[in-house]
Amino acid sequence: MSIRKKTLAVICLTFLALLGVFFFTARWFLLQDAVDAEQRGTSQDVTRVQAALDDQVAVMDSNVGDWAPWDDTYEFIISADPAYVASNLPNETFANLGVELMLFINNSGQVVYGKMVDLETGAEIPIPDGIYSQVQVGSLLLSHKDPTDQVSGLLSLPEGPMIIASQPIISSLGKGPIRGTLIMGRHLDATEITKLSQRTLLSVSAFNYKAAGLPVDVISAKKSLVGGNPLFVAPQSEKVVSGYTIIKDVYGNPSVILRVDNQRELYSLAKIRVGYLGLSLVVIGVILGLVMIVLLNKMIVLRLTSLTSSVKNISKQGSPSSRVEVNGNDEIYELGTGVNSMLDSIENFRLKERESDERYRQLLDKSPVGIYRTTPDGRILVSNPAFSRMLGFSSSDDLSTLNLETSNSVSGYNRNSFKEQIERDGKITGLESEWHKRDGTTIYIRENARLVLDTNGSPLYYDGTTEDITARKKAELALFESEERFRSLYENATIGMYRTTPDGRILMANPSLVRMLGYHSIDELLLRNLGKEGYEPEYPRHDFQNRIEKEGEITGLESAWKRNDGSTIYVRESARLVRDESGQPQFYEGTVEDITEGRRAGEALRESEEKFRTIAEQMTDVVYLTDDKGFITFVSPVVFALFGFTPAQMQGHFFTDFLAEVDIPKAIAAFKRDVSTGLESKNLVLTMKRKDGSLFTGELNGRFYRNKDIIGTIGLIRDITERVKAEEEIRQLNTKLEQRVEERTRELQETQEQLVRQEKLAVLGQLAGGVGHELRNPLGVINSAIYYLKLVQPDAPLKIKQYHSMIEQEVRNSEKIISDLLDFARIKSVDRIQISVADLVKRTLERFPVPESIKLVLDLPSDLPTVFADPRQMEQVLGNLTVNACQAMTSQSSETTSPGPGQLTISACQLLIGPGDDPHSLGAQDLENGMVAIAVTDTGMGITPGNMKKIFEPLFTTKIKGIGLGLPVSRKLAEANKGRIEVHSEPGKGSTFTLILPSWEITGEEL
Amino acid sequence: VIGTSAILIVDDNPSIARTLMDILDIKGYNVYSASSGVEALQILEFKDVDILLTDVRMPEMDGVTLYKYARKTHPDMMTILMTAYAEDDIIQQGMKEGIKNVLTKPLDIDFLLGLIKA
Repeated sequence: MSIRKKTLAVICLTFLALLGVFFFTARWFLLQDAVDAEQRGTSQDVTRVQAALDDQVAVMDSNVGDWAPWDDTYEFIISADPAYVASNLPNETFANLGVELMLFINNSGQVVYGKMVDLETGAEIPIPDGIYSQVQVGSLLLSHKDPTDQVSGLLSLPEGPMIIASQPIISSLGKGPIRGTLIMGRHLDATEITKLSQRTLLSVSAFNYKAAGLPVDVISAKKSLVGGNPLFVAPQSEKVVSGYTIIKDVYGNPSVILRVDNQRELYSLAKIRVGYLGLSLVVIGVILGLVMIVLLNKMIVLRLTSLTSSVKNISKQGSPSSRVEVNGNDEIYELGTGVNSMLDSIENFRLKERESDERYRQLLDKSPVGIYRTTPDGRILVSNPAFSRMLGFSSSDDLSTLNLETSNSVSGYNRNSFKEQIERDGKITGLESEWHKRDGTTIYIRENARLVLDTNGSPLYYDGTTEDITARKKAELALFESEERFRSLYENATIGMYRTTPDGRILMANPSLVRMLGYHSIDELLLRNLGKEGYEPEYPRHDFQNRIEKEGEITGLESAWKRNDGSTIYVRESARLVRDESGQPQFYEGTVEDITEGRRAGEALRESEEKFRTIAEQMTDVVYLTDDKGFITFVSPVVFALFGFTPAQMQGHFFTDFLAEVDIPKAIAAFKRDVSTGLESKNLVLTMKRKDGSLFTGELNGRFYRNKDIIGTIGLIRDITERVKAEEEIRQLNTKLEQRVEERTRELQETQEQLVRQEKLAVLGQLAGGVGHELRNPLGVINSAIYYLKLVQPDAPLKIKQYHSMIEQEVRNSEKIISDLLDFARIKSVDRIQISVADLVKRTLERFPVPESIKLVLDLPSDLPTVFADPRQMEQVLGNLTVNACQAMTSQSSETTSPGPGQLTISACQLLIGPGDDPHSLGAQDLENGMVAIAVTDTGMGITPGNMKKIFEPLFTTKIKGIGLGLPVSRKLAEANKGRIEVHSEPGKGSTFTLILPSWEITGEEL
Repeated sequence: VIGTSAILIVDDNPSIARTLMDILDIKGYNVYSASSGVEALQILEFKDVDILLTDVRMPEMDGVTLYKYARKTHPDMMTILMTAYAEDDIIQQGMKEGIKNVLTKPLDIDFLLGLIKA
């Protein structure tokens, strides 16, 4: 279908659809509006008729309202006075009132008076029986409880519905009591309906609800109304629409169906307008369609047709330079220009293709290589001049008649195998064969060919190139002959010869090599790759390769190869690298000599040497060998770490060159002994000398050895400097430890002794105190008694007087012993005061006079500071020291205990810090304290060192007399006064006892 | 005072009291002795005593206590303590009470005589 037809069809269908939709939508809206308006109007009409009917009922009700509450009626219902009837109820009254029926009923349900008049004729007619059943006592029409009660509406009667009204009969004033009921009524018959139509200007019909044979439309309306709708409207026909409603009677039961008929004027009018609308739409559609067809034709279809015919023309003419005509400025114009640019491209492409074709043609024609294309059966389809020339044809000869398969004169090789190979592999490369030229001469051709398949995968052509290699081939033949001469040499040589590719593929091998490697034939060997599997792992071939490629050749390389059976063959190999023309390695050529036998022997030796070397090198101890003279023949490399010499520097030297001078004799002696006796030197510790001259301690273990004709010593040297140092440290530590233990033990002993001494003192003190006191009383008695005796016997004989004196003297001695004991037992309370040393010394000498035989020297500086001490106690101390000093100077050898000749010096000084000022060898703490020292020096016999320790112990004495308490008491007293006593003595020369006391100026400041 | 001083010696050791009494008697003093403080106080009730020479440590009553009682009736009496215990607390107490003379046994009798004479 053409664009024109398609476009027309589309436009027409679209228009029809659009118009149809528009038309029917508009029609539906318009008619629906008309029907809605119709319904609303009809419903209003029905309501109006209903209202008119209600008006009739209301008129009837008002008639009853005029009559029932009236005194005359009120009277009449009781009296039934005929005069009331005569004057008030003639037939005309009924006509005037428009009432057909009147009933006066009293309270007991009895009809007092009743009359019915036909309003058309004005004659009285009998009252229908149906009414009476409605006016029984208790019925709705009679049950008025209140004077204002009333009932009005329709009453369904067998002959038809009746408009009825009922009110209670009461007095004119509207008061009760109710005496009865007045009922008026009129039939709702055709006349009434007609009147209703006239009054409402509508076509009204009424149907008895219960009547049979109702029209069809009324029955359907009845169904709808009974369903609950108050109104029902339905079109009767195209012309008439009807509205229906049900009028209920006074009991609320459906009584009458009212129908109002209306002309459907609005609906008819709407239908006519819709018709006009459709007509106008059709006209518009036709006009639009025509316009579009014209435009389409002019703007698109005609131009496309023209473009098409142009393109058709061009393709028919086949002239790529033609172009289509283009005009305008729209999509069709762009299509035209697109076609033109495509034509441009095609033309360009053709030009290039032609050029390319030309180039290939030239290549083909000028190529020195023959090029052909044949069918599989050998017919030549294409060939170039070179190919023709090769076969002895002229360049211009047509070879299309030549068949390579059938013409023996052309191809000298078995074409069947050529075909087989090319169809199997798809190509043939470097096939060299002998061909025959047209003139019968032989040429050698090197041929490459390729199989061209058709789309089904079956062979289509063979494309091939040929190369005339005749000249080369002849040269090769000549070469072959010369090679042949070497072949027997190659085949029969006892050494193996080979040629491999650089990657190890064996190209050639002579029978000797085949045998050597345990193969049965050359072919078997040729399957091997020397590079991959021929070498033992410890002889990596890439080393060989690197070397040969760098140096070009290798001579005498010893390596291990693998034989066919997996065993190792050791070979000496010489090889040469053969390069191709471009200088790339082409193959390796080499000779191989089996050296397995010699190798195995060497291997064992090497292994053992290796083991020894490993041991020697890995040991941290130096291994050495010397000859029997003592010259070093071997040292392991670790020697460098110890001595700083390399093994090479030490070898050849005499071993003592590396020892300290002091130890050389010892080392030489040991060496000589070892060599001469074959003994060992075990753990020989020598001081050794390093390269830099420094010394270290080494331990040597060596012995004589003999191995065949080699004799000498072998041994190990170990640096034990650290060990010696460590041992020395341990020793020192041990010594220190022992000293400490000793010190501690001594301290403990001293502490122990001191404790014991103190214990001893305490016990002694208690005992002495008790004994001393107790002894004083008897002594007192003795003392008094002897005094009395002396007193009463002034003239007693001399002997008696002497005895008196002896007793007296011993009492005094006893008293002294007791005093010492008591002093020792209890230090009296210390009462320290400031006192000068001179005073102290003076008082002491008064208390303890120095015998005249002893020279007394006092050296008390006047500027000496006062001391802070208890004077009595200090006198006691100084006195003890003085007495001791005098006794020390007493000659012990003689029986007499008179003090011998000697000098007693009492000196004092303040201990101050001063260089070299240390007269009493006192501790530094005294110097710092600034204490005052009072020294008592004698020239007596001195104190032996053994006694020196004990002199302050209680009960120790060297005197014949004395209990050994003087010094202990003195020391206690000195210490109680914050001082102490120092002793310095030289046996035979004398002793110095120094009492050191705090000076007032120091201590006083502290107080 | 006309005549010699009267001395009362108190000591629980009768030998001490006896020997001292003999010596002082020879020296011409009027001497009484008592073996306890209670006895001494009884003597003091009846006798004029110038010097009280008493031991310190005695049963029932020590010398210082005795002195304290005695000085109520004999405020001018000189008191000398004799003791075997030079460092006795009682002596310290006595010196605080005003006793100036304390002699250690065995007595230096010459010193004692000098003291009494003064």
